[in-house]
Amino acid sequence: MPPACCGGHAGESHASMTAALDVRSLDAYFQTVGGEVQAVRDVSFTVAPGEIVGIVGESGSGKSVTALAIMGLLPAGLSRVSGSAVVGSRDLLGLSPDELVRARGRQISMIFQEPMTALDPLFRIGDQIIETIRANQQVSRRAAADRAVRILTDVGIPDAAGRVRAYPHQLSGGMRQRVMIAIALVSEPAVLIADEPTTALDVTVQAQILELLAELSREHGTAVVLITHDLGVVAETCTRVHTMYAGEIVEECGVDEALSEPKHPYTSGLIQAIPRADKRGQPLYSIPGRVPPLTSMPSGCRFEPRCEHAREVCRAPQPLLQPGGRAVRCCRYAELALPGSFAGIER
Amino acid sequence: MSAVADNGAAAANSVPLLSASELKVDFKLPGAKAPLRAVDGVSFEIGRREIFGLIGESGSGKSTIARAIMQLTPVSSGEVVLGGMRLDRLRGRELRRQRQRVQMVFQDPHDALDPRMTVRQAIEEPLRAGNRGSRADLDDRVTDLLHRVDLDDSYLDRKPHTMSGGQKQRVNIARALALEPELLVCDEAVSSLDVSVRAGIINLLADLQRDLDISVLFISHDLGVVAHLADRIGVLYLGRLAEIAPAGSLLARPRHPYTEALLAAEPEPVPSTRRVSRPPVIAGEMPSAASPPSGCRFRTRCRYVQELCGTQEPPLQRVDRDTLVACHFADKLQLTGRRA
Repeated sequence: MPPACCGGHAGESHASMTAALDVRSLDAYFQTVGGEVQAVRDVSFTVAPGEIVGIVGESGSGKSVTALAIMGLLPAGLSRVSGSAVVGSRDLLGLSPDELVRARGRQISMIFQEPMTALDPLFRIGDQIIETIRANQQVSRRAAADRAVRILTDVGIPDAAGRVRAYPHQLSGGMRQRVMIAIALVSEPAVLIADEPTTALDVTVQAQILELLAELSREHGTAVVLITHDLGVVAETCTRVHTMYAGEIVEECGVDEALSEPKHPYTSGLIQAIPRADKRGQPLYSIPGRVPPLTSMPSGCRFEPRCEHAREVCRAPQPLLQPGGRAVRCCRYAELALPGSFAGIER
Repeated sequence: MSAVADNGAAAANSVPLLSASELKVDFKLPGAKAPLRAVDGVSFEIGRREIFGLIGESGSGKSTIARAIMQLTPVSSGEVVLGGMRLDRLRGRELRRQRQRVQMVFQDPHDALDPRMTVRQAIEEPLRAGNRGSRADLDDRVTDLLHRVDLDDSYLDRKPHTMSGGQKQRVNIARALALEPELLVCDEAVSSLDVSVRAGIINLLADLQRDLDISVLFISHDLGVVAHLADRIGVLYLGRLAEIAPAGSLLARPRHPYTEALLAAEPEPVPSTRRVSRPPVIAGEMPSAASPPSGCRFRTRCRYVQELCGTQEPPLQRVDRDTLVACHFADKLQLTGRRA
C-alpha cells in the first residue's frame, strides 16, 4: 500500500485554514443505574477539507462515542452531550432532530465497522442508494438510479449496472463496505466519519478500501475522521492523529511525529506493543493493567495507574499542553525521551 | 524463542510431532450438487518445540485445518499423524484419550468460558475430565496453572464477567495446558484483544512454548503477530498452501506472489520517511471455494499471471532447503519483501 493522501501538511497550523469540521470541548455522559458517568471529556479537534485525521485508541477510549456524539446518534434520554461540532457554519449539537436528519448525509456521514448493520437485508442495494439520493435531493427516480450506478462505479464495484439488483447478502464484506461508502458519499457531505471501516476486512481488501477513501477524500475535498485501533492504518492513511485514552485526547500531532517521537507514555506504549518483523524473538512491550472503569476514573492523569513514568505530580488533573504545534496531556513530557517506532533498531 | 533461527532446519530433520498430509475437508451444502472443498490437499509438519504459524484471509480454510487436526471436523481424505499415531483413524474412547495431547485456544475468550464457573472450577474441569490426581493434587495443580499464565491466587474465585479479555484468555490458556498437551493449537487466540493486552498474551505464549517444551500451531490472519511468534509460516490461499518458509526469510524474501501481496497490504506503523516502496495493492477478493479458478487459485489476482497458470495447478515444491512454494515461476520471480 503506497503512502496515501497528501502528506507534508502534518506540522502546519490548521487554525488558519477553514475547517470542514470543528469540534470544541465535546463532553458525553451516560445515565447508568449508579448515576451519570462521563464517557468523553473535553475533546476538541478540527479537520480541513480533503484531510484525513486519525483518532486512535483501544476499547473504552471513547473514540466511537465521540463519533456518535458528533452525529447525534447517542441514545436520547440515556445520554447527554455538550460542546460544539461545527460543519460549515452550523453547530450539529444545536440542531433539532429534524434539522439533524437533514444534515446527516448532506453535511456529515458516517460508516461503520460492520456494513451489514447499516444495510437493510431486505432491499436491493440500488434501491437503498436511490432512497438515500431522493431523501436528500429533488430528482426523479430515473436520475437517482443513474446516479446510483455511477457512484457504485466510483467506489470500485465491478459491473455496477448489474450489481444494483443485488441484495446485501450476495456481496462480500469488502463489496458491502464499498456500498456503504457509496451511500455515505452520494450526497457529497463535507465530512465523513469512518469508524473502524476496515477492521472486519481482510488485509488485502483493507488496503483497497483505505486507498479508495484517500482517493475520494482528495477528489471531492471530503474531510475524513478515521477512527481505528490500528496505528498502522493511521500511518498509511492520515496526516494527523489524535490518541485517545479513557475518554480524553492525550496526544495530538502529525502522524510522523507521533510515530517517531511520541510525547505521551500511552502513545509510546501502543507503538511498542505492536509486533514487528524486525523485533522477532524479543518480548513485546505490554502496558500493565487495564483502562479504568468510567465509574472510577482517577482524578489526575487517567493513565497514571498504568504509567511507568508516573510521579506524585501526575495525580493532579492534567491539562492539554501545547508545545510547538502539537498537544500532549502529560506534565512530564519534556523530561521524558519516549521510544517511538524505531526504538531499539539500529539504522 | 531464542532458537528461532535453527529451529526451522532442526524441525525438518527430526521426526515431526504432527504431520498433516494431503488433508482434504469437504462440506456438503444444502441444495448444492458438489460438496464445498474447504481444504484441498494441505500438507505440513510441525516439529517438536516448534511454533508453526498458519496465515490466511477469511475463507482460506485455516480454522477448518485446526478443527480437522483436532478431529472436530471429519477429514474427507489425507492423514493427521501425531507422534506416530494416525489421529484420523481413531474413534471413541481412544480418540478422546489421544486428543488430550492436542489442546486448543479460541478467538473469543469470553465465549470459551462458562459464565457461572469460577476460575478455579474452569481450570479444574479438564483435570477432572482427564482423571488427573487427588483433591489436594488438584488444588496444587490449579494454582500452578494459574501462576503459569501470570495470574495470582486472587483470581481463583472470580467469575469471567469480572475479568478483562486478556485475563480471560489467560484462564483459557491455563485450561488448555491443564492436561499437559504436546501441541497447543491457537486459532486467532489474540485477534479480539486490544493491542496493549495482546502483547502480553503473545509474550506469554512465547514463554510457555519455551518453558514447557511444547509445539504450537498458531493460526491468525495477522501477519505481524504470526511473524513475531512463529519459527516457520505456512501461507494459505483458498484451501491450499501457497508457501511454507522460515518466518525471517518469508518476510524478507517472499517466494509466492500472494505472500508478496499480503506483505504489501499489511499497514506499517512507521513514519512516512521510513517507508520503503512496495508493490501496488492487489485487486479483487478471494474467489469462493465453491468454484475455485482453474489452474493456480491465485491467478485471478496475480500480477505475474501467465497462460500456464490457467491450465496447470502448481504443486507445492521445495525451492531451497526449507522453503516450499506453489508457483510455476517461483524461480524466476524477484519478489519484494519487508525490511527485516
